[in-house]
Amino acid sequence: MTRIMPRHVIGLSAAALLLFGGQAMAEEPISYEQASLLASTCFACHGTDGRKEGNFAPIAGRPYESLNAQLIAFRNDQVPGTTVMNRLAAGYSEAELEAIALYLSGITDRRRD
Amino acid sequence: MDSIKMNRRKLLKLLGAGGALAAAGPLASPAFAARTAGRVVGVGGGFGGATAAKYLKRLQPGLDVTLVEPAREFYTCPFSNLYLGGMRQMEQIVHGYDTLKNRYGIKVVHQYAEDVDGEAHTVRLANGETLPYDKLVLSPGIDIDFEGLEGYDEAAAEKLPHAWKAGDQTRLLRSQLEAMDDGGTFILSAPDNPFRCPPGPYERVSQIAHYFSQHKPRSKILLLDAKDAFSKQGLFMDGWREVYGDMIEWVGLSDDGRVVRVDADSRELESEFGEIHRGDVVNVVPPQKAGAIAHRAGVTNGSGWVPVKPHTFESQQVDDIYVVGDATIAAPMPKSGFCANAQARVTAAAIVAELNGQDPLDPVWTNTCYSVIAPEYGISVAGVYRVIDGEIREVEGSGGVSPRDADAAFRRREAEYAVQWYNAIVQDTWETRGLQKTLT
Repeated sequence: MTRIMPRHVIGLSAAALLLFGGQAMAEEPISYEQASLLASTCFACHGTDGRKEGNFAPIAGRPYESLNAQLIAFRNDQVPGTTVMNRLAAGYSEAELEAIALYLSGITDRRRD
Repeated sequence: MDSIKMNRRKLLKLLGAGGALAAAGPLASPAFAARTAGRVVGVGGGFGGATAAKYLKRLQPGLDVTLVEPAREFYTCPFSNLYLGGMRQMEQIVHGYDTLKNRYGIKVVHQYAEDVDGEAHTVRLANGETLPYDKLVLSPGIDIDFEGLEGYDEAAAEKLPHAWKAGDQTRLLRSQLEAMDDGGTFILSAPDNPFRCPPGPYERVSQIAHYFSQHKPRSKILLLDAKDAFSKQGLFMDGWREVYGDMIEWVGLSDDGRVVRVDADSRELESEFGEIHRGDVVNVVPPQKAGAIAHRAGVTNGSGWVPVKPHTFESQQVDDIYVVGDATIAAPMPKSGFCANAQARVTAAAIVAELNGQDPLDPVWTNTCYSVIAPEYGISVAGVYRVIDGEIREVEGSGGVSPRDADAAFRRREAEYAVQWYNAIVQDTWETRGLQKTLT
């Protein structure tokens, strides 16, 4: 597995990337690593990095705004016909869902694994 | 708001960066990606062990990761019930390690791990080789507790299969079901908690009812249970009645459902109060304990299972040994492949943090267990878990089971989602594919 990192990416300290989310966790910064970990809870059903396509809605690389709105709607149980996403999204704060939406929206390479 | 927007842009830039980072796997933290120090050995190539190995390499590609698993191919317990019901073939639930080896650079050693020396930090393999580690991940799954039920030893299991580890035992049970005459009685004995896959016995009788309804419609199913309540109970019982009429009879603990003795030759099960049940095919789901290597490593306690530190799943008893999956005491998280996969991702991150001198992240684990009652009838239970006041707890207001009053379209969608889930989690775990898009 070869990994080539452009210099400007290495230059950014991931730990320093803090997200200051919405109301729920206004004081709690969410680090890049924490955002990755939160997003990885999606992978068992949506595939690694959310890349699995099938009869679930694709989530990798979708625009942040729509992912975030959808997750918040699941959390508020406002999506008719939902089977399980309402039960799962209820376990996260709004700031955490925002972090998950950010992570997934940043998956630019949509190739299937 | 300015700082939110700016940081959002930064994160997007980082994650997106020309596609290069994304192609390498954006989970890899730039801070750790280039580092090399650290030898991690994983024992057990199931949902927990394979996922841990993969995510360790994603997070820190320079790590030296070895996965020890005797079998060259792994049969999943999830969907093995669907093989019993005739809805899947065994070839569709088997997974190999080629991509983990070739794409991720994980060394896969097909040997049985015999012993662990926690002081010396070594694992001894059956071929005599010794593997040194800085961090050890054990994901040994369950062993059958052959001391736990009178009359049920390894020889008895060849006559009354448990089929609670997928593979030959599953094939044996299927062949017995195929050989049974129409009008026969199938008995399943379910154990007390804790055991692997809490909804498993109930999905299994559903699947066997599906098979009977198509091929042996006069047959009966008796489920003798050492408990008075079980996972998704209301949903299962509704589904059994709706789809299979009165084919399935469940007898709980209070109605003398607990089996205390087994006679493998006569296929008889004796209940606590002395009632004898004779079946034409008998499936004993016996008491269980953590897999053997966990006992050898000294990480189990008197319960036969492994107590772990909630944030990291490091053993409470031996430093630098992490245990994930069914072998652990992680209630209220169930012993499911889904949870093993979830625990492995959190533990991989914790190990990488520890090796790099950082604090572990705030863990969050999810679970979703689908049970397929019939080809177009699925139900689920879900949960989100965190460390709250030093203990693993389910997040209040999250999780729960499918609604009791859902319509047929909802049940059909959950059956489809079960397949989608299976295909996704095997990709996330072994980088393999499920074969079939639909169940029918």
